[in-house]
Amino acid sequence: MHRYKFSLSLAVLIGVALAPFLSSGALAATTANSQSGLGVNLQNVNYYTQEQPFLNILKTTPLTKSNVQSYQTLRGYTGNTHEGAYVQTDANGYPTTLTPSSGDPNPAPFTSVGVLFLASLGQSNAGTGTTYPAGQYVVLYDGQGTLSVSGDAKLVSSSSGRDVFSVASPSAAGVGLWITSTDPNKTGNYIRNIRVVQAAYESLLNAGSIFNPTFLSVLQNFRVLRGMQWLEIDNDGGVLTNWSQRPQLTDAGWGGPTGTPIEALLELCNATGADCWLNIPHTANNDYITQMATLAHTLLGTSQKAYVEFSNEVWNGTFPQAGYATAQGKLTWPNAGSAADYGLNWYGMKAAQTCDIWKSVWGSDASRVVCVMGAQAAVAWTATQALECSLWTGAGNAPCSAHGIGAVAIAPYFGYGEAQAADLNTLFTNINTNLASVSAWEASYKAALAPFKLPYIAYEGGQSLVAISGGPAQALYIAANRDPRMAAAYATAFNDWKNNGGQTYVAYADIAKPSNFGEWGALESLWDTVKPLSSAPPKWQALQNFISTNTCWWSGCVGAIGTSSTATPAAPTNLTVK
Amino acid sequence: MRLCLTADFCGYCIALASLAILNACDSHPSPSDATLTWISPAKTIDGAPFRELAGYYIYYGDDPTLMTHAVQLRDPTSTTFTIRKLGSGTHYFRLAAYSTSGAQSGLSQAVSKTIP
Repeated sequence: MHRYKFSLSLAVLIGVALAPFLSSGALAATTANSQSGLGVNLQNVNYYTQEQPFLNILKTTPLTKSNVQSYQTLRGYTGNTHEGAYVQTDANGYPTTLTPSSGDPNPAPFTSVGVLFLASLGQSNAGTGTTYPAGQYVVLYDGQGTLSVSGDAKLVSSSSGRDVFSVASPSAAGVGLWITSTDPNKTGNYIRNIRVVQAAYESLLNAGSIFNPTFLSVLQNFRVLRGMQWLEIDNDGGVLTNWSQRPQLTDAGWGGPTGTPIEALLELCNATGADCWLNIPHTANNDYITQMATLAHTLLGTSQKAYVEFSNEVWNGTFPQAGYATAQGKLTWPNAGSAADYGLNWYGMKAAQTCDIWKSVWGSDASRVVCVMGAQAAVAWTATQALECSLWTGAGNAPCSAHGIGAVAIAPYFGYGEAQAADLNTLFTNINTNLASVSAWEASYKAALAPFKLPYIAYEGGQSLVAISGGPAQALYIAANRDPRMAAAYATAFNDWKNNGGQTYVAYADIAKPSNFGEWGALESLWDTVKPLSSAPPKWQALQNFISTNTCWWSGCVGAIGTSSTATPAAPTNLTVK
Repeated sequence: MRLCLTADFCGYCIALASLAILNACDSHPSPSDATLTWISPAKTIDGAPFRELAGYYIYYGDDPTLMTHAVQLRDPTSTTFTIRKLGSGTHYFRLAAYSTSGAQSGLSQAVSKTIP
């Protein structure tokens, strides 16, 4: 599915930081999510995310050592001079000085450098509620210097290492945080480790917690969290090759182009007791894959599973990872002929090799690794090609399905590509017609995968109305997503899925602002009313009602998060080779 | 003679809809093959009788500490398997069993074979 990235000119400022301490313990799967049939996709982390997932709000910014251009720079009152690329920072992305680097044509010090957060947020409760909570916020930092705030914020007090600002009327303007001086005594004690937190949560942050409690509460009923967009394995399939390139917990911001640290995603899964769906960049080398598997094995709670997916939608010809796979396939099998599907064969091979590595690293815990083969919902052939991967000849190679693949994942979206309807009645008639087509796709998958004895799950799914040009269609689609009939459409989609033999359905997505790029969020804002459930947005009601009225329905799903030691076989013995 | 997924992959036999990828395998071993044999687990790790065996994972590679290949055998009655056409060098093998609920055993001891 195409998701159009919302792109604003980047704002400003300073990163914050801190290296939060990871909590060492993991929640056991809760009764709420251990029997749930649904998972949910997380959205990209950025300064305008509707998730607002972190206690330290500065973590939503894109500020890292390799992304200094995200800083806004001011010289007097001229506005952003767009000299962020010349901001000198430490390894974590904090400015060490206001003097630009030597490449800047203007060598004079900046007046200030800074960044925006809590900006461009949509209002909660269908546009009638707050954009984010009003009240006091605390800025904590190490080092010497001075800070200022702008936008919705007004400075209340300032002391060494701790400033307080107040927001009386939250708006889309958000908050700007600026370093106006740093390291005044030139001793290297510059402002760093910056944290911005709601005053009410300051003690929670100081205790080492990472996540906004409101965010954790809305995730509590989902069986699995898919972190594809947190890890920025999105429409471009990810861009990292080497493990050393990955984002770090100590980075000032986690909202940069290479995504949020894997550790943070694993900790979120631990904090909610959910299984963790981890996507791997299509350009990652084997060392990256091995290190990622090792990290996940170390950090993920022992009662949780890791879903492992190589890239995202490699079958989708509009994504660069599809072209990459085809090119790599042609290099790998130069004599396969013009009829060969190089891309799907190469993807199948990489998914299989990735699974081999993960299963090997996890050793006796390998049953908690669910290797996923992604495919197109409308075309089951995309799955069988990758599972068979007949071009990958040689000892122990094809079929790819034999390399521990645990499930095929598709995206049973509905409503995509519908002709523009004139009104809601017509639109919902069209949606219901389309739901029948999607159900037929699912039935086709059940038949196609039977020889492989593999289940199929949904890596994404839900309505997919997009009015990219805006206008009346966008207004209609937003209204449809706020209409009770959309809840009924979701209930139909979930029940069809269940009846067609599908297993875990990972809805797309948790929280997103409606726009001409789509209305993807089950919630539009973290601060939507969700209690009582009858007051929640219709899609949220549909998800929660389905979870509460349908315990997971496939064999072994209840309590399948983790396994009983009494059912674990002893290792085979007397292994010989000749 | 058995029906197998590819000519290089004899020993791993499942029913497939696509007969196009089924190949007849002969049973003559080659110097580049490695034939593994083992005894299946009869008990759980706690010593209780174990009757829910679903299959095996064979891990192998050229590094005994990190085996980069795996084969899943979905046949719980298997006690032997041949990996064909291995390249020259030393190859290491370990085996794990798994249950119908997906629980996987620890790994067996490693064995190795050097292909000239």
